[in-house]
Amino acid sequence: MLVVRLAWRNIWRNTRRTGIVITAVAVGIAGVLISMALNYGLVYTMLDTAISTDLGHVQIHARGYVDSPELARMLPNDGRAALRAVEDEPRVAGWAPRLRSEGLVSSPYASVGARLVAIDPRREASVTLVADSMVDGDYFADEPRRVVIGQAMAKRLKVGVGDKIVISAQDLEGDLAGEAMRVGGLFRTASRELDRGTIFMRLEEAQAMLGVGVGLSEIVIDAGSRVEAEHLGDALAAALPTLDVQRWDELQPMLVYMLDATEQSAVFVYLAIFIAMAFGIANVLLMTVFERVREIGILMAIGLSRSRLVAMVVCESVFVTLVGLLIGYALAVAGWYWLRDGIDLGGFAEGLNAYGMASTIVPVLRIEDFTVPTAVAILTALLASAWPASRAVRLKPAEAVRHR
Amino acid sequence: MPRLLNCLNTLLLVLLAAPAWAGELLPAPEGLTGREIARRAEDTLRSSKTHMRAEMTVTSPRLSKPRVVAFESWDDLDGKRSFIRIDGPAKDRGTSFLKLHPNLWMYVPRVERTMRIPPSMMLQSWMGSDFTNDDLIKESSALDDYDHELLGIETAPPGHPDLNAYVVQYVPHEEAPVVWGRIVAWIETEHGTPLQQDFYDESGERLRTMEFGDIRRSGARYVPHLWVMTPLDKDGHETRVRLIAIEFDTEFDDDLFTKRNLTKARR
Repeated sequence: MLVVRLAWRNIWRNTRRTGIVITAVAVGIAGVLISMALNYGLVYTMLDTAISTDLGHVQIHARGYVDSPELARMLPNDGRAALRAVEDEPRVAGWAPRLRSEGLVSSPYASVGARLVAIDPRREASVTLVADSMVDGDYFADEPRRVVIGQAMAKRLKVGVGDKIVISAQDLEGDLAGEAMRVGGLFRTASRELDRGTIFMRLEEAQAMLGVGVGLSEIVIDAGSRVEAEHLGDALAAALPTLDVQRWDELQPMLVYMLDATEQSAVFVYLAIFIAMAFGIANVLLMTVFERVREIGILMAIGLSRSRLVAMVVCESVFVTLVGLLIGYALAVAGWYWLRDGIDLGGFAEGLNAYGMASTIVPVLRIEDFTVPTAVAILTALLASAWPASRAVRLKPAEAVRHR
Repeated sequence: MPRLLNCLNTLLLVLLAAPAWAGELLPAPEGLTGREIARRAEDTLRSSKTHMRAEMTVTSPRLSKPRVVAFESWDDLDGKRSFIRIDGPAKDRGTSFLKLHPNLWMYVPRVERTMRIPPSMMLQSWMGSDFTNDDLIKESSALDDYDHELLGIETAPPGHPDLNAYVVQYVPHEEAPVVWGRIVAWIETEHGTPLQQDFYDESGERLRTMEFGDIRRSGARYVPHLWVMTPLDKDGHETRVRLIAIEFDTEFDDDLFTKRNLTKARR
């Protein structure tokens, strides 16, 4: 216990030097934590944006639909088994049926290829955000034969709310079906892909146009959270062995890859910071050892054992690091709290939308962002003190006490 | 002063009420319907089996000189099938199109590949022209998808000073798969020859016009041998089709309309 007290007092004997090391550690840690929190915030925002605009947490399809999404690959039996399983599953927070196809949308001025997504407007609103993303017109008001398209697509077609467009697609028989519809509303989401290339129709109207009876291509499910999605996906997959039940991360592996990439880059950033920190601490401790040659000599002369001397130097290193770490954490939490409403990237939003990002980034701090650096920092402190400690124990008391 | 204002008002009303075309219209004879006239115009350009050779000239600001495409086509109206073969320019020679309702197939000899043109490509330009693939396969909906309103008779319509034309307005049914707001057609009174068609959007802006000229007699028909399509929203674009020969009500071999025939680049 003596050496601990001794070490604690020692580090405060030269407050300026200790202060510099503590500041370096604190600022380094806080910077890393905040930048990682922003990175994770960016990735999680992207995940949640993708999930809430279109993807949902879990989707159910007929076997093989995802690999070759043809109209004919509908859910068997009009999706009755799947619908029953979804309704029986209490963890389902919301679900919506969809029919999907590829087609062509034309106005008198232009025509664009489009994904036709036929939805039950009320149900869809319980899973995805399109209903909340309307910028003009209505999200499926009462009139029949209205469609909802992205603002970007409307711009390409040069149409607005109330204008007529013609939708052509291949029906189940392979015949080209064409229908005139009117634009009921325009939406704008964070996903450029959705805004440029997707047209939402009423389910019954699309089913009639494509001649599929009451057939469905997919059921999209909101599980409440990404964590719940895992259990829910497994439960539904077990209940529906003949269908493909896939979670968002299986449907969009790209999103998972981005999360992994962020995690891997974090490792390198931490490594760089801690190596720099280790040299800083070692350097300062070495200085303190050289400065105190006489003092150490006297300590040894009056009977401080070598192991205690090593312990003292190591303790000094650990204390400096820990104090720096705690202040760094406090700074990081303060920064995170200050940015809790998100950083508005409004100015860059256009570019970010291309990657399916929202324009506001909310930083995300996780428990493991604290535990791992703490462990690594203490390890770094131990390693950094090895060299100064070894210099200290090699001093000969008889010479050291005469050192000036 | 009130009198002058009144005059101005009246003038304004007249101007607003005036139709988009400038000419004066005479009333059409009683008992004649727009639909009947539209049918006559349709019948002038098509028969149950029609064979033609034509040359298409595409002008566009993107092209340094006009692109000339020679082609031959066989159209079986009742069988809802047709076959088109490109004879020139040399690099496109042998490219063939086969329409078998409701599909359109295309064969490109250079890559020796037959492909079905997917719905997403239907409205793409056909051979670089202002016509689309969809124009090739569209069945005659000019009669069933529109209401036809006979607006009157125009003497000496634009481009045809020595003829008289019925002016018929085609208004698409609400649910018809037609992008246009309306079409105004001039159809020659005596023989039912189409003279011009103007395509409007729903806000009343004229977007493209199709003019017919060089009317020649072919049996009982008076057939325009020059068709000029001008998209008005694209500056400098124009597509002219000049008919070299046209035969109506002929007989075709059934083998003509097969995918096998597509690959047979008959030169």
